[in-house]
Amino acid sequence: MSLPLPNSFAHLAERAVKRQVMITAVRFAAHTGPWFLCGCLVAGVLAFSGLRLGWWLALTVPLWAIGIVLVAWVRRPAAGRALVLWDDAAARAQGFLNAWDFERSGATDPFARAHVAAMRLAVPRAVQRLAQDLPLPWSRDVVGRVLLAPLAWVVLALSGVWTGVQVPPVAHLDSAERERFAATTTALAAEAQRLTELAGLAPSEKISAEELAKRLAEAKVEAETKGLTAHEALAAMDRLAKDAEKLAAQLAEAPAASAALLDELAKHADTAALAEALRSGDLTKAAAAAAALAAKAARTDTSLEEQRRLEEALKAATAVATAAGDKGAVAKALAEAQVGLAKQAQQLTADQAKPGAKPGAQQASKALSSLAKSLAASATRKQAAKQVQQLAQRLRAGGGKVLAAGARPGNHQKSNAPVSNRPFTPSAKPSMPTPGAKAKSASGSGKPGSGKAGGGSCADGSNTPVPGTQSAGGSGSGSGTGSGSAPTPVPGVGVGLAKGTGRGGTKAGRGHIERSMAPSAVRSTADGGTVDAAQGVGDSTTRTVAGSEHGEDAVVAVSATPAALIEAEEKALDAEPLPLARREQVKRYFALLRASAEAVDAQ
Amino acid sequence: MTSAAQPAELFSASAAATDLQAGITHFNARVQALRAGIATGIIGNEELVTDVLVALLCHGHVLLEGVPGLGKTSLVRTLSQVLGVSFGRVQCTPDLMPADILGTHIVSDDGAGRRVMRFERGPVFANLLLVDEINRATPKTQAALLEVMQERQVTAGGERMQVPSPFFVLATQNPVEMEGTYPLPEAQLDRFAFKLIVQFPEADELIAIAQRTTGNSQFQPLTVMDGAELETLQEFATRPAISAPLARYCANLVLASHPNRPEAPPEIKRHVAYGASPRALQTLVRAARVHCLLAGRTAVSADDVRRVAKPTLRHRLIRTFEGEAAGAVPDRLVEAILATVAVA
Repeated sequence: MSLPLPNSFAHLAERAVKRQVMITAVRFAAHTGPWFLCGCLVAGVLAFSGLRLGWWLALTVPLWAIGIVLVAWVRRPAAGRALVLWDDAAARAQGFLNAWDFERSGATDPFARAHVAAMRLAVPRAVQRLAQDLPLPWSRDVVGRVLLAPLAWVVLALSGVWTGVQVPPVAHLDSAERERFAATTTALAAEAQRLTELAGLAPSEKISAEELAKRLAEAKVEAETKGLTAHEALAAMDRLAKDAEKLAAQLAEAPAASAALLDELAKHADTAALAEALRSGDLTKAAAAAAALAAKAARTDTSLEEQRRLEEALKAATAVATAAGDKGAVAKALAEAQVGLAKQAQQLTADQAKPGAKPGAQQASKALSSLAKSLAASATRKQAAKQVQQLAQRLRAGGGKVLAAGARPGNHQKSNAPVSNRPFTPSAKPSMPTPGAKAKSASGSGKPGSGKAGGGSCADGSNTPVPGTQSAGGSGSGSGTGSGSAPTPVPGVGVGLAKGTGRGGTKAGRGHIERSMAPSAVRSTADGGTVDAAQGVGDSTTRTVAGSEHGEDAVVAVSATPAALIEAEEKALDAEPLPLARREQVKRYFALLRASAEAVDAQ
Repeated sequence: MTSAAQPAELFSASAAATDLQAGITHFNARVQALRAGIATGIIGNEELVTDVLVALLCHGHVLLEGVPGLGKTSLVRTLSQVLGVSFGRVQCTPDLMPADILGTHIVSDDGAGRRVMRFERGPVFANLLLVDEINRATPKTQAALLEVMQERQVTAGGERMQVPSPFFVLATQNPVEMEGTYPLPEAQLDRFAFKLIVQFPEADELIAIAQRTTGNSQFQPLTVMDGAELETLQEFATRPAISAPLARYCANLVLASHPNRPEAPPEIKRHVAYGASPRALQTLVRAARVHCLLAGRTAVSADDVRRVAKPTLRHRLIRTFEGEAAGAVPDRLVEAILATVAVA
């Protein structure tokens, strides 16, 4: 592509096009400036409300400027059109346009040549006046609209909107914290090691406990050698606590019985103790009750009635369990025992001649003994679960103790950082209290066991108790009945319990919620009734009209006849099935007739 | 009186730029002389006179429309006197026959005693033809003018006869009295380069008319030009250059007058049944060239085109029934076209 000669009209056309591009850019900037300004203001509002928007916003003004230039370039007029606009602005009557076309087409016509020559003489002055002929559309309004946005951008930049996220310095554990961390992990590792010796643990569970101890030891070594940060130390303790909780939940699993089954068992004298123990969650007692039942089933000196009573109780319980869909271990054991007892009853009928032969009773006894053993093992595992749970709580609290003992002033200055990027340190204010961590700035004196949530206010702004968290006001210890007002009773929290079995203070409490309440009977929403028609039954309406005497006199007064007739009509009206309003209307009619009859009589 | 100066060299095709400028100046001076001559007989209506002269210089015919008494006929008669060319007049009536205009063969004596058919030329055989109240003639008679206006010749009895040059038709019609008239067909209208509306004079002009035309003295316009010089001016008026963007602009104006074209403005799409013809484009360019010279320029500008757009296009926009019912004024339609179409 050949470049236009400097003195040619094509060159002039290029200048005109460039000028039009500039004009379009200014117009477009003025058009979009208010929107960009709005964006800057929104960014400013967000910035002053605490949201850091990042450095990328600094690119908006250059991007805006580039966009304006691009749009202006895309919308640039053609060379001819640009010359027309220039000619119109300079009142040249398309002089340059014509000259540009004649020059381009190489016109040899004298008039065309004369025109080109004349226009060429006018070019220098026209070039000088280009800016005056085609002024950029600057006005006070346009300047304001174009410049306000970058100005706002600069103000925001100076205000620190785009300073981005300040990455806080990594806070490593100091020597004192490392010592505390080592001591804590050593103690907890020993405790975890002791858990492996607990009775009732499955081999896999023992391995888990050993793994817990091992990881605690590794964490200690890592803190000493590698130099853990506070965040890493807390995270490590938290991970271990979660694993311990998982193990505790696994250990706490026990044979369950449905409420319907327990209700049914509670109805029978033989099984009432078992039902009560299961309902109260006392597995030791439940194991003892199951063992007693097994012994009773196996006894040879029981009467036939006692055996039948036991069998009936188990039969009823099995039926209820089946109806309730209860397929738990208790229901299965009871069903198996019931089968054995039933078999024993048949054998008694068939083999009375063989005293002492009780294979069915032995089957029943075996099933119930097995249940008793299972319940005993569960009781043991439950105890182990409690200890593992306590270990988990200590793990959670341990991290806090390590770091919360000394204030870390360096951590407080990072409170302006975004929540998602803020390092998790105990001195930073979490939105929820960390399980196991002490509530920091509780003031006032709470009364543990008094049932109140504490007289102090929790500076952490959370009223929701968390397992393992000490109460804000609970610094003492004790027991009592509490009519707590805590929003949600959580096991492990010594305040706000529904019933006063919880203990406040440093020791974990135990909550109790009535969960064994039998549900009310399901009532069908499609209830219907049937009404049978009864004929000849019940009262019927009868009306009796008594006849009256009618005297006939030889002489009758003039007014007597119509009055008598009216009266008769009124009486007859009572028997007519008329609406009330109509009846009243007719009576008024009769009243008028009577009045007229009386008037006639008076005359 | 004829003009003494005949600087034909100024209008020569090989003239230099300076000579061209002198030619343009001379052209303007002669046109100004014509204007001054006409002004002695016609009071006011300068724009109308200019348009008539522009049409005359670009070989176009003019249809003058105006109520009676506005000086239409006087204008034509004055023009003929100023130009010093032969003048023919036809007063159209419903019983006017084509032969009455064109001429007819009659039996005559050839001098030797033999009777021969001789063509008796009609009034069209004049340089300047006034067709008064053309819409009172029947379509048959109106159609007789088609050939002579476009081809500048008359064919009668197998014989083709040229009308004298220059040839210029000025027709008048009364827009008010429509009873007993025959509106000009589209083909006939298209033959007229311009349709000019004769405006009612202003108060000052009426006063001047009252003072100058009601006395005993009969004014006599001076002849300032003859037919030959007029032809020279007509030839010179065809020479101003028109660039491709301007020619495209003219073409776009014509195209935008057609309702089926995408570039047509909404008013045209709604109110016009058929737009201007290529003949309109020719007239547009020719008349613009004349205006270009009158402005002293050597190349046509958009203003020149805009100046002649209304007289050129207003009678060529065939309105729809809806347009006529809505009272769509042709001048407004032309303005809509001008507002829509841009140069380059």
